[in-house]
Amino acid sequence: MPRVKKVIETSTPAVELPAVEPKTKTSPKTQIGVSLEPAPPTGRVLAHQDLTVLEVADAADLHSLLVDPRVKPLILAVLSSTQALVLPQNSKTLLEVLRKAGHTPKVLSEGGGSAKTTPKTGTTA
Amino acid sequence: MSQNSKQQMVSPRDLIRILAERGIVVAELNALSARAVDQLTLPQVVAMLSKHPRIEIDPKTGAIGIAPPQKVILLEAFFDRIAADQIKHIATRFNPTSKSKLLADNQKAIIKALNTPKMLEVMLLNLAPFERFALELALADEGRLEGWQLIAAACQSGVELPKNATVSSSATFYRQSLSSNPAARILGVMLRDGLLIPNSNGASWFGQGQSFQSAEYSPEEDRLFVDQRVLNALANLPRQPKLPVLPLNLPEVQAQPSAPHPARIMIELAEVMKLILEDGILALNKDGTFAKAGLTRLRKRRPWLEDRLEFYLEVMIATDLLVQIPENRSQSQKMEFAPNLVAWAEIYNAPLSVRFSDMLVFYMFSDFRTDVSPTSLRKGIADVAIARQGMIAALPLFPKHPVSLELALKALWPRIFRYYSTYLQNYFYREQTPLEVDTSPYFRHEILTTFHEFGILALEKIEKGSQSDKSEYVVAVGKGMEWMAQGIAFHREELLSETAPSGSQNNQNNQNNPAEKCLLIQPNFEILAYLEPLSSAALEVLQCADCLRVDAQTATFGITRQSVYRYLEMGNTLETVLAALEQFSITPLPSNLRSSVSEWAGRRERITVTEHTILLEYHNQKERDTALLKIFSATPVGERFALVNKVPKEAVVHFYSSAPSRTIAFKPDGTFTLEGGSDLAARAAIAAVAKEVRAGVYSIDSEVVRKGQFNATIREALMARVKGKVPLSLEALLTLWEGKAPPPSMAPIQLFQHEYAVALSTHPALAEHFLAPLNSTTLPVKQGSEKALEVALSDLGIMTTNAFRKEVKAVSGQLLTPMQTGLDTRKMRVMIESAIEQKRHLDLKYEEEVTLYSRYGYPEKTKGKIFQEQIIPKKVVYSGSTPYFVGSTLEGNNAREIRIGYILGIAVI
Repeated sequence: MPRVKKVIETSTPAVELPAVEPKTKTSPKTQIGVSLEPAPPTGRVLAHQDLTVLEVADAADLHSLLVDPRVKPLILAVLSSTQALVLPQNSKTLLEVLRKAGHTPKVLSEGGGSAKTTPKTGTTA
Repeated sequence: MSQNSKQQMVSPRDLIRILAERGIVVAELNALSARAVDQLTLPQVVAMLSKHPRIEIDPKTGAIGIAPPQKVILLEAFFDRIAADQIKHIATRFNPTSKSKLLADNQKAIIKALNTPKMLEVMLLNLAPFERFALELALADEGRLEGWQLIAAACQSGVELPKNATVSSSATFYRQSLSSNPAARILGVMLRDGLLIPNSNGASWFGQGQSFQSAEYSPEEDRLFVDQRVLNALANLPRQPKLPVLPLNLPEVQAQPSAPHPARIMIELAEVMKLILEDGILALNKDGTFAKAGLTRLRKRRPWLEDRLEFYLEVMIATDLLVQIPENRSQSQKMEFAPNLVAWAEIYNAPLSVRFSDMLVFYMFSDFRTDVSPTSLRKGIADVAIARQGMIAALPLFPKHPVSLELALKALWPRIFRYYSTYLQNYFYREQTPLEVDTSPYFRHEILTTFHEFGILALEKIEKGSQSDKSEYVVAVGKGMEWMAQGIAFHREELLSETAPSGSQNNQNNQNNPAEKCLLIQPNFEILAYLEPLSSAALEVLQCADCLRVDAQTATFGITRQSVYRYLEMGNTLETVLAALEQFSITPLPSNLRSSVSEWAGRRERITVTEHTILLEYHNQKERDTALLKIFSATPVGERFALVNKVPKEAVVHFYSSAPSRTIAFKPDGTFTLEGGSDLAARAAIAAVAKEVRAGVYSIDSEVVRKGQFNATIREALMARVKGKVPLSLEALLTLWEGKAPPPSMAPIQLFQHEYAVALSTHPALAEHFLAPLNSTTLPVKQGSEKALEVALSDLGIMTTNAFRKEVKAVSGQLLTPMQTGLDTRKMRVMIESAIEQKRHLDLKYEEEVTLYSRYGYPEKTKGKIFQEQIIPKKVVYSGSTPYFVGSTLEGNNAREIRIGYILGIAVI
């Protein structure tokens, strides 16, 4: 019996949105959604609280995650070439899937921004 | 509450007077004459006052504060709780000259004695040895003592205890019946005579005159007090020499009993904690037992733990290292426990021996599974927590050399264990000698299980025969006992250090040197940990590795990518891992291990998942960049987003952890519009699967759905935000687009129409050519049977026409539809519901439901007469889970309620 190689569809990431008014021309690889329309009216700011942000060191890493059939359905939207959004209810599943896939994701909690380190969970949780 | 007064406002004499009014009398000042006081300056007075324990002087402002007086126990305050009989006993003890039978006279005699130091001295000099011993203990502990500890101390020191039950079991003290056990009888005399005052009526000394079976052990409730004046009088008498502990005098047995090293217990406990941390939760069955499947799963990951896994899980629950998740937050019906990281971190904040000792004591008196011993052993043991107190009290009596367990139990029972057991209930002979039962088997069981598992007592089994119950054991003091003693000493010093600041330095004497190098780290990623010098700091470092096995003197750990990842996830950094390993490593850290750990840590940095973020969204990049100039520690994301730590005041907030606003309104044709501000999830879902058909109106793109992009996340995000209902047709379309249902069929078909169509279809020559009737006048003809049907009709002399009439009135009667019989209730209910929806009638043959009453008046429903009639069904109703339908007869419009299960035949017409 010839062995059938499993083909994984690698064409599109979870949400592919064209950038509105792109400032710079991006390469096809990184031309992924950076804008979710409709944007709030001018002068208005929206705060989206409690979402989970998946961030990778390299754009290629995100691309490879988005073609992984286990990870792809858990991604709500791609914010930039290295950042994607996940609904809070899918956060736990995402971590399980990533760990099962051999990744060792760093898990942070509370507030994004530059807060890259959390207090020692062993003493403060 | 402290009361402050400003020193500038009063003279020294006034100050002394004011303080004296508040109960502050300084002997040094009191001894001075008024003139001498007037010669003192205010600072001098303040300096003298500062020696009083209740005076607090603020070093900055010089304000004088008065601490509240300590609770002084006076016996007369309890008079309202003491019956006349007992008052007489107290009076006899304190003032033997009082012979009055009147309550008031006896009370006065007691108060007089208590306030006369000479009388108290006489009373104290006449105390029995045990009574004097108890009061001396109370004096050492500022007037209070815990009853069981008093019994323990007396038993350990060999103080002579009252042999006979001198107190009647029917007697009541402080209006409470005495418990039925030897210890309560011993304390009973002192309670009766007012020498000891109980803290609470819920104490285990009281208990319906029978046993303390219903009473739960509580150290605070079991506390006893002594009148302050008695203690003051005792303090003036020469103190009795402190009695040493008298160990059991038993012959040495040549054996080498063994017990797990307490460090091993702490290591294994840490390993179980690692397993639970990896899993997140521990689920127990509804009845609180461990789920077998869960245990097997955990055991697979640490096979060397064997049967001890269950013991450690039990210890962790009992000591609150695992805490139960409230039922409303629990995801399943099971009892779920989560790791208590705060309690776990505390493990490393004190010497290992102290934490070991704390855990042991916590476990002993925990409510969670305090006893798993067989019921047969529980005879004479009313409260496991109290029995375990007795077991702990017995520990110091074990000699240093190995002894026979049986002999030790034989010696310990009359000396200690009997006081921690209870009398058997003896209703008929209450005033006679109470019945005692030998509870040694229970204490034997405790030694063989809990006390051995904790390494407190070492054991060696000596086989005497083929049967296991004939086995004898040799017992010796284990290393755990030493650690337990260190733990108790640590806490005692800690208490002392609260009054003497230098005490904290002494604490260091009780632990292993926290910086001692006790790990041998090898290039094969294995760590050999020596148990004896292991400190809590070293154990904390070992969280970065997984334990592979524990031997008598060492434990072997393995460092893996997963274990390092877990350690980093606990909030540690690469630098701390390497520094900590280096700190405890006997040899220099192998370079390959250093590089691998660095690589594993680096790999963790490649993917970051940040939960509970605050993502700001602006109109465009320019607005975002301008706004970020004013926000501290914000990270720009994409073109017009930013991650921040705090929500700005002006922002409109969308929460994603709670139910979202419903902003998507579908129309019957499957298109939808956005009403109000939609959040990111709604927009992402629309962007992913919808297209704009005209300004502001969207429809789901069938092509995108076909490609599989309408995944669970998108579906959930979209459906959660839908206002009202999604049109049924769209649900069906989505199912078809997703390929979850086969495509619909469409084929030309010939119809047979006539008023008697159904009746004709029952003819044997015609029946095979028809499909199920569409209605009472129209039947579809089977594909390919058209010609054959025409021939068959022709043979029967019937000619057909091509004219199709829109409305053909069915002829009523039984001819229309054949009645279906033998259908189950569910099918008939579906038919009736369908008939109601299509506004059609039913031709029914049914049995009526009748209610008969039994001879006892209970109603019983049963079948009655059989009817056949045409009914217009209105609705289906339920009585409990039994379906009925309500309708009316076609003729006469009489109401009917028919039990569907009683229908014998049904036809929809």
